[in-house]
Amino acid sequence: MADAPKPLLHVEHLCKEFPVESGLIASHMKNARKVHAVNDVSFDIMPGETFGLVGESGCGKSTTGRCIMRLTEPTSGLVEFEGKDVGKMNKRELKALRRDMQFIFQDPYASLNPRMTIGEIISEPLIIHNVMPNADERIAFVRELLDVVGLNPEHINRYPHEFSGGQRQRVGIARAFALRPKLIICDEPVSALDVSIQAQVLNLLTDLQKEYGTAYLFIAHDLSVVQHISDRVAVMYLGSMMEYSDWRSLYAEPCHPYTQSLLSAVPIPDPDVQHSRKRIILKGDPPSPIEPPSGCLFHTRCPIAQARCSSETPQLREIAPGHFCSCHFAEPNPIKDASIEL
Amino acid sequence: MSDNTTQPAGEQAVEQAQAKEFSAAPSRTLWGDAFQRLRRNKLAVAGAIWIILMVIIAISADLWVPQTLGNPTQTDSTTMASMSRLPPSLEHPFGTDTLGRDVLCRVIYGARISLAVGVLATAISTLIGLVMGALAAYNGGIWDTIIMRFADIFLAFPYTLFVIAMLAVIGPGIQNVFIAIGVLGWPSIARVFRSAILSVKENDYVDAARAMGASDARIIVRHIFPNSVASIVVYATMNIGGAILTESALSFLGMGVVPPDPSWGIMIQDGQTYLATQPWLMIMPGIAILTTVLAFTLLGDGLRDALDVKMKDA
Amino acid sequence: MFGFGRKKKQATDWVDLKTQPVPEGHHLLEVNDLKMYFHTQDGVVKAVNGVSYTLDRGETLGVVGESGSGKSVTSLTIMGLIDMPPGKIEGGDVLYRGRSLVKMTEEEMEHIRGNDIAMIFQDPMTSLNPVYTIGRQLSEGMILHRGYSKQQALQRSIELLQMVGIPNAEQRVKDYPHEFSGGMRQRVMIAMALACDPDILIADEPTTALDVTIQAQIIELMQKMQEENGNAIIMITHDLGVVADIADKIMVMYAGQPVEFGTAEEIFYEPIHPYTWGLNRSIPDPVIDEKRPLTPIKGNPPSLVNAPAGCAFSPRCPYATDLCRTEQPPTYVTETGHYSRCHYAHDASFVSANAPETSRTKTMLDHAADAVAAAQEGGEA
Repeated sequence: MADAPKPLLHVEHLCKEFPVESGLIASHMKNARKVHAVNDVSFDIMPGETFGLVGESGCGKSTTGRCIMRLTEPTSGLVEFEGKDVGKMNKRELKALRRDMQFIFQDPYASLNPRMTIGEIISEPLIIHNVMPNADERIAFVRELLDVVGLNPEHINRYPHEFSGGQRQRVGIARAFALRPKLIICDEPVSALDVSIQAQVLNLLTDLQKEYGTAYLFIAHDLSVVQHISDRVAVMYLGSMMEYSDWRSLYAEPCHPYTQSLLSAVPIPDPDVQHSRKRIILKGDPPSPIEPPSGCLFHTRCPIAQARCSSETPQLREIAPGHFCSCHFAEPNPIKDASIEL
Repeated sequence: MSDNTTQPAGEQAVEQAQAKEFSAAPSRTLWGDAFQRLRRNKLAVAGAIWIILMVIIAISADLWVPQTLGNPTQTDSTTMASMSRLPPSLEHPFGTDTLGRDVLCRVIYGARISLAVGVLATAISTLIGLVMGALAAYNGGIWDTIIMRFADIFLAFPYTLFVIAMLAVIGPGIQNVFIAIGVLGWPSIARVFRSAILSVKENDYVDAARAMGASDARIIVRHIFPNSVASIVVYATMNIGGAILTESALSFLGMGVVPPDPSWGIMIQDGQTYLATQPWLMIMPGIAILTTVLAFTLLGDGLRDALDVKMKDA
Repeated sequence: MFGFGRKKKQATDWVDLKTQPVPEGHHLLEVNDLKMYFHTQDGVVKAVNGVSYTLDRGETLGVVGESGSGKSVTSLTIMGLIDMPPGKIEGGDVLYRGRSLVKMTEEEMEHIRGNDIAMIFQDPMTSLNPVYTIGRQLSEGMILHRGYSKQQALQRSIELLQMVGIPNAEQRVKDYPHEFSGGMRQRVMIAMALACDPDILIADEPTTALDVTIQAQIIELMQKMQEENGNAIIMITHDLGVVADIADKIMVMYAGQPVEFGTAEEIFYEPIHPYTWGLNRSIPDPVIDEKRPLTPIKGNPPSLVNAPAGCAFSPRCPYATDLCRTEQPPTYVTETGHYSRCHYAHDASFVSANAPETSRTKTMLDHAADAVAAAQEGGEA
């Protein structure tokens, strides 16, 4: 397929394990217990697209994002950015990579240095990469950027604590866009914000994407937010990818029982719809990532699990063009009888 | 921000209202804020004023003390008998000592030594502590283990005994007091700085700096240091008081400053024989130690509250 | 909340209000124009400013608002859990079965809390005491309010844990909070709140810290418990989906004021306050096939210290007029009790021109279009 568009980011068999014991000796023991945070994750991101990554807390979605940027060193697997192996990059190459790949953090309070003005914060990437050596030019650019993200350019000399959460998140976005990166990893960028502010930030991200053609890896736990912003969506559970597809078919015809129950668990802000639909209530809690279940990771909570599921690990396979699912019994809406069990 | 749906009129008013809301509040820096909070703490201000007063008196002593109160070290054998151990009077506000020297004069010159020991020894400890703490916290792993276990070993010995033992090896004298107190004081500073760095390192803005390709040096200088230095300022301030106490204790035991140089510890040691009859000989230098150490502690306490970023909205 | 370590009170000298009938002409809980202000260094914070609603047994009230809207403070005020000072009730009253909670002494309130009105909090990690077993914490309230013996209380604790769906309850009752997962702890909190069979259960963002599959479990559990016990629920949340799921009545709060109150039907299908519209337009709709652009509310929530002169929402309201910016709007009430604090809420043409489309109006429009099409076909034939 010579003509197929080249992916901007290619992730293959990415794995990350964290030692449970933190001691110097214990963590190097051969049979030390490990948290399997990310387990054999593969996907591609095309230039300019938004790839959503959803899952519950502890499913490894944030770790995946951090491994791609090498903020956390992956245990194994391949990450390629524009065909270059990120894992093999030395310090200089990594610095160059970070011009093209940026990060937006969840917590607008912790992600801005309280001792720097927002002008200093936004111009920091420009200084590091020596993009605009002229200070006047840089200040003019930062003011312009503040205006673009909807902040008053006159506030360039203010400190983060003088801003509200939503405004701080705009500062974080301005910083990420300062170098006009090709890919931005957004780690729960709106989950700390109020509903009305959430919408402001989501619209800003969409507008900026339209203008600059940036691709997003959008990590979030809120399915409706991910659906709203993403072109393609992947669902993670216990460090593994359960299903991924374009947003329309994933939300309309989820083929993995986990995706289906996740979607049915999101309450819809419309009483008519909410009261008329069937809800699938999953039993129990997600298992511990230290000792993940054998076979299919979801079989302990799956309403349609069979004997095969606990012994045989399902592979991620293409069940329809562009729609991948890792379930032995993948089909649209696999859970037919939505029984409520507590 | 552009919007996809048309918004009715009133949008401008929204923006105007926002602009107004912002222009009303003047821009404040975090250090400026901290200073404002410090000023509201009366005890800390009292401590700071006392320290400043002491420093001014100690520095300017050569200009006026010998003329009015006499020489702190020299004795005049001809008048010694008549001048010995006089009670406080207008001429000698703190009285005189056994050798007929003015006690106030010796307290003032003693302040020079005490303040110098406090500041210099703390500077030495802080410098070593900062380097060690930063190495341990930033590199982690084996560095952290070795440095912190080394610090634990230091802290396992009684501090004053350790200083005495060191002075016994390198000999008494004012420079050696600086060195002994300073060199042996680093472990607690290293610990404080290490934990400060570790908690600052957890913040997303450090990751943000890494994500934009900042070098380690830049991350330490621009992000970690400015946010962890507050705890060191507080700790060092309190440590000065501690160093002054240690110096006095050493001099009292005869391991510190060598007579006839005036030191509060030596003065107390000299005066203890006369506690029942001429108590001022001991009480005056005692008050000097008490007030100075208290002033540093109060200032340190105030700084801790003022520099706490969490209290910024209070 | 159960007064750990306090002297054990005799239940005999207290008439249990729960057993008393609701007096004629009263509701189970009536909040009338409640005002709670905090007097701080920076000025007076009007955290709760004129909240009114009524609640009966078996009903669920959803309180919706953003952070700092006063939705939690309102409930804490009802429970008498606000420190005074800095807090001060500046007006209004709370009647529980016709008795004023505001005028009750602290001792009387201790009988109310946990026994008649119980509360569960957002963070199940910090609302349980880590040094006591689950069983002991569950028993505490029953020993205090019901005069149970330790053995009776423990037995009842096990029943409660089974009731909220904790497997292996006989064993788990001896465990400590850290041995439970977040969802399980929230179940324990619900068991604890329901231990004395309260009339009213106040749930302050009970599912915000939980994952969506666990949230579904907890909501399901609260509904089931309500069906069995007939208690009323006050559900405080920022999530419109959660209130759509469980609320009968909804109060929308903004800057300490209830800007709109009505039945769930009214709030979702006939909202009359621009802030409610704004919230509605701000959230992505999870059921639509096409992506609808979001219309956020401009600006940021106001500071409660320097509240705007007129309507609190006027600086962010796209429809605000000079009247809105200068004069506080009155409370406009319809015959059904649906109320709104907006100068233009009574103006039907203003409302119908600006209210967002809902799934109901959409079906109505579709039906109308179908009817027109059918009529045309019929005409042609």
